[in-house]
Amino acid sequence: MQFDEQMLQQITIDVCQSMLGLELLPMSPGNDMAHQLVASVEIRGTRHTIVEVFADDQLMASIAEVMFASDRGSLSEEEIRDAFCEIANMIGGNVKGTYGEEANLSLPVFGSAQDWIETLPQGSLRTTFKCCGHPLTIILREVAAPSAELVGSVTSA
Amino acid sequence: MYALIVDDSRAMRHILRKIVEPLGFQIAEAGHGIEGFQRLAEHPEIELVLVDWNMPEMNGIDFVKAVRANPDYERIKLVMVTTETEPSKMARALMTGVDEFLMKPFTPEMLLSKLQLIGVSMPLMA
Amino acid sequence: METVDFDYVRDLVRKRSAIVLENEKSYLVESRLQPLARREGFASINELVTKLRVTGFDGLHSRVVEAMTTNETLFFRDLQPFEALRKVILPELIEKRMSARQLRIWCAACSTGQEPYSIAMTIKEHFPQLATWDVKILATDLSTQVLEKARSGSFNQIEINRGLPAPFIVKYFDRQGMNWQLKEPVRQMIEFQPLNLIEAWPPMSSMDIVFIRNVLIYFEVQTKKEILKKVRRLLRPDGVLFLGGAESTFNLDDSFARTEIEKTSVYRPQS
Repeated sequence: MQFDEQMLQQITIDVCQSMLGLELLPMSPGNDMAHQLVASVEIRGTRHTIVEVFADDQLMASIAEVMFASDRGSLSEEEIRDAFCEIANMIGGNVKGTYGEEANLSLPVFGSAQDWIETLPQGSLRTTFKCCGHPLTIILREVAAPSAELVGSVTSA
Repeated sequence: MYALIVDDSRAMRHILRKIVEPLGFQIAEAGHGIEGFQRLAEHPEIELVLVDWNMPEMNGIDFVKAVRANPDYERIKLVMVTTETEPSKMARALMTGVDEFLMKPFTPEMLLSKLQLIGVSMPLMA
Repeated sequence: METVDFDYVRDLVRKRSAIVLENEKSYLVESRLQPLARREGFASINELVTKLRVTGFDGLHSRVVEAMTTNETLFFRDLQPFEALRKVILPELIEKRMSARQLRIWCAACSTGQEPYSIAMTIKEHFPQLATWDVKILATDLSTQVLEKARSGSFNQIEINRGLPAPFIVKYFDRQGMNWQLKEPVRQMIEFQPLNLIEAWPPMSSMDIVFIRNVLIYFEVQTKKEILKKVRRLLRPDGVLFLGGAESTFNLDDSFARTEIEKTSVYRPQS
């Protein structure tokens, strides 16, 4: 089955809206990715893809506050990263589930989007929502080249 | 009554704790399978385990295999709560010995429906 | 939502489905009509209701009624009725129908199909001997839109995650992209048909088991009585009626006797 942007949107809605109660509104993608943070998971099977979730530090904190049911400003940096990585894990796992064949999911990797590779290989998908007033971008990156070189598209924290 | 939550995400452990604790369980937490075993040894009264699949050190499926290999833990109900959603993986988890399987993302109501299916007693549930 | 619009919708829904929308339900009316109004190309609920007022009863009116009467459901809802079915009711009936080798089951407000499919899976899983019997599950609902979804046997992950035992997911569903498709042998056991409980019922065969759960609560006393009377006529003398957890035949129809099985109430015709 062809995986399309609508499916990526639905999975994101299921994770953020149905489970966590965060309201998502579709928006056009911004360009300021370099100043954002990214959590990613890699899907390896017959098909090799990477799911990348981008947010700024304020949105990351808001998501973590919802997941930990905590007050503003009361969470550690580690807890905020942990929550954001779990979002990437859930989205990535559900993307993988639609591929129709078994594949492996990596543990999430967190980093800054500074060295992020802007050009997306053919077949990649990108969708952006407004969440808590900030952009939340999800990218499904098709990995065409041998994976070892491309895992580094996200700077490990 | 004790329940153990094994997940490498603290945020996810917190979400699960907030659902299970009000049912009348005291909660133990672990970040991977090996820690999970330490908690089981510390709290022999644990009767419910919610376990993730993908974790560092020892993953959920190896943890389930090891729990099921130990007759002392025979009465423990195991629920896998994971983002692994392929039917083949679900089948493997069931073969390995989990009692139920919940796909992430989920809502509290979904977890409760799964606990009800496997006869977990929930004294504080209305 | 304006009071006059709410009043109009309440009257429409009451006439067409006998469901009574209390004033405090106006938030529910609003939350369900908003998406419908948008889908139908109206800027607001007010515009939608204005259109309803000036046109005769048509598809749009039906869609409004359907939007107001469609209810959330889940597989094996409340669990105990299905335990009673599996442990007591079906074994008893199988014993009694040994020579006729026929069973008729009716789900009277089946919504998106979770209830009849739960019954069908229970039969497939626990009563393989019925494979050679003539077993039919009739599933009806007021809403044709909902029936179409039910008939497809296709469920999304959120629906699959609610109440369905994992071994059943593995055994009876195929994953197709984002959705889970019920396998043909389970789908084949069910016949879906539109039926409005407050209008004339089409001819139906006598039933061994009737599920009419979580629908009577929406009706007024007189309507409940009429429906129960019709169910009583349809039910075989040794048949069984299942109602919702908050429903009973008490003070409505004394021709039923209540018994407790597996922590759930079932109703049998009094002889």
